[in-house]
Amino acid sequence: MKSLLGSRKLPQEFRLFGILLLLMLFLSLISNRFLTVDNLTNVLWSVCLIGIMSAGFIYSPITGGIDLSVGSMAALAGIVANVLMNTYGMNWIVALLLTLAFGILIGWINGIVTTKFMVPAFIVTMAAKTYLFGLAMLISNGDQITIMEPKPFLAIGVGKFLGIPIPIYIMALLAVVSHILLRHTVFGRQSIAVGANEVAAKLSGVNPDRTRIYAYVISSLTATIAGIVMASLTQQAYAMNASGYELDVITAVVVGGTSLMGGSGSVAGALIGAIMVGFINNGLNLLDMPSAFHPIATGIVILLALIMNQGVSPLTVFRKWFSRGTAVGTAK
Amino acid sequence: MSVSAIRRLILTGLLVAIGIALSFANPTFLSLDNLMTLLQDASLTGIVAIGFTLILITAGIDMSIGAVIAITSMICVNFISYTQLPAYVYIPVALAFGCAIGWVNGFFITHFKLPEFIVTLATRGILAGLALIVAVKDDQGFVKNVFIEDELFLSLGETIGPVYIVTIVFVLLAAATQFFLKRTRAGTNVYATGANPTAARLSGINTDRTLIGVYMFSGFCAALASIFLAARMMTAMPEFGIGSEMDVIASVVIGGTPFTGGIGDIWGTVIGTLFLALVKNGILKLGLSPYIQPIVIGGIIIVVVVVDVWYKAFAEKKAAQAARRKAMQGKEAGA
Repeated sequence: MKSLLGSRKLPQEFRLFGILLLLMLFLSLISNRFLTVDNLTNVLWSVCLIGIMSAGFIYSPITGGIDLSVGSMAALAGIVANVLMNTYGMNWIVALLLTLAFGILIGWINGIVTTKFMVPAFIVTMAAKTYLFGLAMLISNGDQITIMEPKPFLAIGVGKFLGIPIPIYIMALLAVVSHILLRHTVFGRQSIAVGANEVAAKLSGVNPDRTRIYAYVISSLTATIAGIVMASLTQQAYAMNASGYELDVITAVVVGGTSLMGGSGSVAGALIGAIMVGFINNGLNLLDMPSAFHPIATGIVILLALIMNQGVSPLTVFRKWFSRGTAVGTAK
Repeated sequence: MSVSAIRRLILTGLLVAIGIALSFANPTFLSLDNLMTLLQDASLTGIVAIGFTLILITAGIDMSIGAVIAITSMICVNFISYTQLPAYVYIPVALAFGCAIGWVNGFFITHFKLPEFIVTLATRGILAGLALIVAVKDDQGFVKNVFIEDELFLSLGETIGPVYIVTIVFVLLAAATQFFLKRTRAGTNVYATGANPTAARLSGINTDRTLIGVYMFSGFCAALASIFLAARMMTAMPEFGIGSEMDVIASVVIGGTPFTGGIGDIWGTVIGTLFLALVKNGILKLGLSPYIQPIVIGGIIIVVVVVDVWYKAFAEKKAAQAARRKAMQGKEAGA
């Protein structure tokens, strides 16, 4: 496997980029519709949403947790923004700022419950996913609300600047900020330290609880931004809008080489992972596969990526399993 | 009295209090029909929750239970629509399939050393997709609503006297599992594996086999619940059970099994299931919006966990104070 994917000295991102190019080559071979402007634009939208989410989501796995509430948070953000702008008639900037503040609040609650009450992160955020979805259904009454007003809000999703869609700028900006935050600031180094070894981090003066709370706030904030972009892009607010996105975001991050055990992560990798998830979904569409294949493909990709990250060869594992019997006490 | 006994007493008190409040708010609540339906609901969640309790005792998690329910109900429906096989042939096949999924989960978790929740989240996606693909379709390719007409299969949704069969199965399964946990060596292994895997391994327990067994049991319980659900609804849909993880997690957590592993038993889970079923029934009987249900369930989980942690810290502080006082008294007596 080493020889196939290049030397281990190369940064992981290069290998990922190679796999991405292979995937593109494969897709353009199986379908002549793949390399058209229309199709690639379509891919771009979904990549943008997943990319925006994973830019912040990545901090929760890096600190050793997980945030499963991002999908529901995004859906709720669109609905809240719509209610504030169109039911209460607020200025769109004020409404969006309030929505972002709401996202920060939910992230803060997730962080507080996870750290101060020592509840596993996936339970807290799974519960958050459930009640946020309920809240979204309650506020929107389960309807698909079409958003026609205000025009500047709709421009966020469909507008272009210098010929490039605005969501791409948002994604690029968030990715760059997130990368700098992770690699070149005290907070970023502290997150990695907390995820790698909490006790050691604590002994060296890092406050693990505060770092984790910030991680969930950032994750929730980017999910809110993604929700706003999505609402503006699709011109609708709907509680089911981003359901299941957490699986896509996890796939993007895991494919990008971020460890779910904490302590390592790469924003650039997550971005390439997001593009890959977009291509895989697009490939399934181009092959006219039913949408049910989407979660199947995502699940398989997650498992494969995890096994690759783990650095154990599946062959070794299976060989060990077949010749077990002396496994007691020797397995680590 | 131990902490868990007090906790259970408080829960039972709350259960009765909510019941009384509900019977005042809506007189139909206390009718035999409603109570038996409530027990039926509780049993369907409860059967899955029993398997889930074992998983939590080993400090694991199984997100795939909802999808297992979906896929096993689809398997039954496929057997019913395309074969003439009797129910006593395909029900064991469906149950075995549930076990097989549990084995796959356990294999990835133990042999590849991957985090439990992400493995089961991935299998959840895979199974939910598969359930849609294998669903019985009509000519246009839409999912068909198959009406189950198999007498033997439908009789599983019937009652014996006033009590639904599923409730009886739930009680029997709960008693058997409690016996297994507390009175057999394999049950002790489950606790040991959850409390301290390394220590368990060093004392000769095959932790990998224990974990795989527990995940298989969880898959089996989900498959069993799925069959009763299909028999009750007289049909099966590929969306069956998807999202029911939250109900199951809530039941087990309310019952007092912590996420840290090594602690917990089935009686707590039984009370937790009843509590959750009562709350859900109450929301229905009070005529509240059904959208409130997920908010309440998500909220209950967080509140219960937070109160548990508070109470634990409080009890530890009390114990430390008592120990200090005792030490002081001893010193004074010595002087």
